[in-house]
Amino acid sequence: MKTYFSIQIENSFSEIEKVSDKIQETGDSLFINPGIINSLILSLDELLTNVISYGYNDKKTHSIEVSFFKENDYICVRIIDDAIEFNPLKRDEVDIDKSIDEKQIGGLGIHLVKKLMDDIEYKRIDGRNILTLKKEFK
Amino acid sequence: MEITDSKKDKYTLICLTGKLDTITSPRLEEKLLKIIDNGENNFIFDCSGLDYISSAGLRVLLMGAKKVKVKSGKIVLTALKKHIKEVFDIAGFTAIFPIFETVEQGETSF
Repeated sequence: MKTYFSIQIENSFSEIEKVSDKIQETGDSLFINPGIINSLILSLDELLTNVISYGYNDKKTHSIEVSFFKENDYICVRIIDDAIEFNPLKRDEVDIDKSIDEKQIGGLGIHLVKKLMDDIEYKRIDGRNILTLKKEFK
Repeated sequence: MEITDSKKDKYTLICLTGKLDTITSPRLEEKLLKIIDNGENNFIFDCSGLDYISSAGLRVLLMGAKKVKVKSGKIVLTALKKHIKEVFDIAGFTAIFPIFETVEQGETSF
């Protein structure tokens, strides 16, 4: 396993761009397919947006760690936060084949992440959510 | 994110440039709701300058489409970049929005 970066951001929407920029920069330097980079950026945006929107019951500043590493044939990104327990894998599947009237406004973000990533692992350890996204590196 | 709107004969053209994400989507929502409230039911979105969309942006488009459908209107999307089109596909949005290559082609919907 080789880690390419690990950064801490605060729980504010404006911080997400720092992660996107870092993924873009690292992905480019490793010559990773732009489609994979886009998928990672969008997935992290969706998950960090969720954590920042719904994860905290206080108004304090919290730190969220995002790291990027390669393991076997996978590019992996890991989010570690001290937000309330949230396992995105336990969310109900969104039925995307619904008509415009039936289509629900919520749940799309997690749906996108599940479709874009090849594997997702969730663990809750010592009051922290540890979420690892994996994308096969071609 | 730059959002411009211009009133045409049969529809309002909205041009999106940049990133439609959690931070910028509320601006589109506000603008779109205002135009709908002023009586417009038909829209063409020119997405040729749209580089990024997250679920926050998709939500605003879906909300808009639901609102105008009640009044027999529609939102037509044009000139989606390939990676944006993929996000629409995964979200199941390509089935509910009329999508065209160009604004001119989109005009045939009205």
